[in-house]
Amino acid sequence: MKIALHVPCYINELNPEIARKTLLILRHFGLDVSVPKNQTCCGQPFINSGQPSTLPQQFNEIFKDYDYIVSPSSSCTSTIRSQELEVSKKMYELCEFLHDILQLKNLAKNYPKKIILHNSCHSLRHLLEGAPSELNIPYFNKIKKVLGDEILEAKRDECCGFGGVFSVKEGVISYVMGRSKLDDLISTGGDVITGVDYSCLMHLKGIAEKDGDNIEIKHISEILYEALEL
Amino acid sequence: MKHYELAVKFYKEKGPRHDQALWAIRQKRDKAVKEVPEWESLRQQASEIKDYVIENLQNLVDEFIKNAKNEGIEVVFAKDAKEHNQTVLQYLKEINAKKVVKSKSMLTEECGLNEFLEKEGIEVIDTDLGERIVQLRGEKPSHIVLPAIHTTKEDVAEILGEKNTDPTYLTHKMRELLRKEFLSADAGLSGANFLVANKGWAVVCTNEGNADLGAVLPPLHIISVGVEKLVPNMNDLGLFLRMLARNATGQKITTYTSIFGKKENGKRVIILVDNGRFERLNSEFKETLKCIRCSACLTTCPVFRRSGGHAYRYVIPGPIGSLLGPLCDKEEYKDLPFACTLCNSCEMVCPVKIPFSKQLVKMREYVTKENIALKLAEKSMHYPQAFKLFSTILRLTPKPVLQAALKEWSRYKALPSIPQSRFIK
Amino acid sequence: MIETFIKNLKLAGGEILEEIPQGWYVTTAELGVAENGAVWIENYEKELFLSEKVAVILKKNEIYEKMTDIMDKILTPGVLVSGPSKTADVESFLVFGAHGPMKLGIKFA
Ligand code: SF4
Repeated sequence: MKIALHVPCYINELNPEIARKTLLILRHFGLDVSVPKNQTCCGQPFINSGQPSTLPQQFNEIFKDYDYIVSPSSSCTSTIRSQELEVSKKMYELCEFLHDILQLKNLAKNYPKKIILHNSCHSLRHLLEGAPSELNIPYFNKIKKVLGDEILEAKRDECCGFGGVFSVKEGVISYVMGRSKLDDLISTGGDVITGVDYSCLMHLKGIAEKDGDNIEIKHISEILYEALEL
Repeated sequence: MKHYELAVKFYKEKGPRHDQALWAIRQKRDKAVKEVPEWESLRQQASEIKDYVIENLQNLVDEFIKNAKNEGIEVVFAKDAKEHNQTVLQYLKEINAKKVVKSKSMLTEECGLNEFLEKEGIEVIDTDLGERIVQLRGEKPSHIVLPAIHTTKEDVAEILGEKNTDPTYLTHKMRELLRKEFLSADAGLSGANFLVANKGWAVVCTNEGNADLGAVLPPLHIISVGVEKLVPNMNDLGLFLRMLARNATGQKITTYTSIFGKKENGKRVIILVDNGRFERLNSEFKETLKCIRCSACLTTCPVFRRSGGHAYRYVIPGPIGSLLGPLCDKEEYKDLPFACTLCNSCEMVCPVKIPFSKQLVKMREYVTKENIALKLAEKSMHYPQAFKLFSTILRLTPKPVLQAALKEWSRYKALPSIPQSRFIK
Repeated sequence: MIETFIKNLKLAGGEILEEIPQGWYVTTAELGVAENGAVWIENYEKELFLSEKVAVILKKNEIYEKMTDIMDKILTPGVLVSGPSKTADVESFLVFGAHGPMKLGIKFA
């Protein structure tokens, strides 16, 4: 099984540690993982700004020799998947991959802090990594499964208000949505907020920092990295 | 003013209460939906029926017209808003009508009928209590099922000149005032939720009974309805009736589901309106024609709940309005598809499975003028070297410059710090 | 099924009548639907909407489980009624008697 690590461009620029830790997690499970060097961007920022993009098509070329492409971002994964490309079926968000393909669970059961999961929209309502409250389907949450049953969740599974271009076009509404999301997450009584989309987390972090909330915010790969004592 | 500015204004005044009220309805909706174990398969069936309807629209229109005429209903086809309004006027003039009572119809809002009739000297009384509230306030509905959801009981007391703000008192006060209007009106106008093609019947769903009073009291009843409201037969209607109210307000069904055929002691007219719908069939936005106006996508939308409906300016606000608005006026409503985080909640609640995330992204493309900078940026991203260059520039840009460039972000949020090295070098 | 009908009728604000009280407008329903507590009334008269209190006579054996079970039994226009008229347009408070009846009761035949 040949695995490629997809490194989302914003992660490469703003928090490369996430990419490194994701790689180490995958290797920890004995996988043959490579990092194709010629990857850039999945095109999402353009497509969502109204600018058509052929960047997703490049994935067909860059990742053609791999069985799976694993990405520490559900929004990039969903961008590629929604394009219905050859590679679309091979692209997995990290937790989705750990759950569906490696069938792992309870990986964070010895984690010393109480974890709060922020279900991002791309994870929940695009990739269906869990059951969104809108649908009449039995409850499940793959990320929670992978981490462990003790994981806390917000009361409302609604959007945190990031939304890419939205966060710079509608700063105020984006902020108030983020603020209520943070309040909801913090009120669970947990210690550290996590999620599979660093973009949402960056938005929540920016608010927490400016408003002076005392809460840790970490990407899921950072939690798994610590939990697995890598 | 654009969505952004209006949203901020509304949020400061009423946002949190509005959000709470609509979230409560969303939760009622979830509960009602979860009582139906086959809900998700109903959505699939509803979606397929509507796909069939839009693929066979002309045939269904013809079938409906034939059957409605047989029933004893007059049917007029209006190609646009102007023709619709003229037709209504002509029928009203025939009986020398001075006052009409109207129940909820988003289509007449789309056609600007009230303003048109008032210019012609005909008084239009909106009778849905929510619509009456906004009419007296000189506003438009802010939600397609809950037109006055943006107002408070104090607002209602104020327009009625009452000190008592008790909702039951205020509701019954309005009932009393409107009952007089019903009894003295010359004609009743309404919309329709569905048209049953093989029967020639029009179906109207309300809770208040206002559409029925308007249909049964005056001698003339005019139903204005968009062609996309057709359903093939009664079985299909039954399926939609199971879904509509549950998804809209969390009720199991609306209080009244009135099926109109020929009118006893008077005349019933149905005006079937195209107003761009047939043209839309050939566009990449034809799936918007599947909408049954249940309003669930508005209620669930986290942006709508905070911005209020008026920030969208178009007669139909929220996610579906962000698709319909720009189709009506691309320049005026080009901000709407961006008043959205692409969270996809609308797609999850939509009973006819309109693929919102795809349609909204397409709509962004549709309204976006060619942007050379963006285009060049996109092209350059195909080359890792260009990306690296961009990344170097980013790292050399002083923080205040970045903050100024991203001022909408930095006003409320700290910018992430940029590490010196990258993972893929 | 009758229990479900009664439960949903009550949720919609309606009631079960043992006797028909004086002064109520009385009409007959052809069909009932358990899943939403609604009754199908062919006799579409203005009193059904103008009266303050409406009593509807319904045969128990004409109650069906789902909405979709009665569609082929609807042979003429008419109205499906679930509880008394209502609104929540004043600040989301539920109020009965919006334009139509304040009360709606079902009397089993
Ligand atoms: S688009 Fe779908 S959810 Fe929105 S109003 Fe129409 S039918 Fe309802």
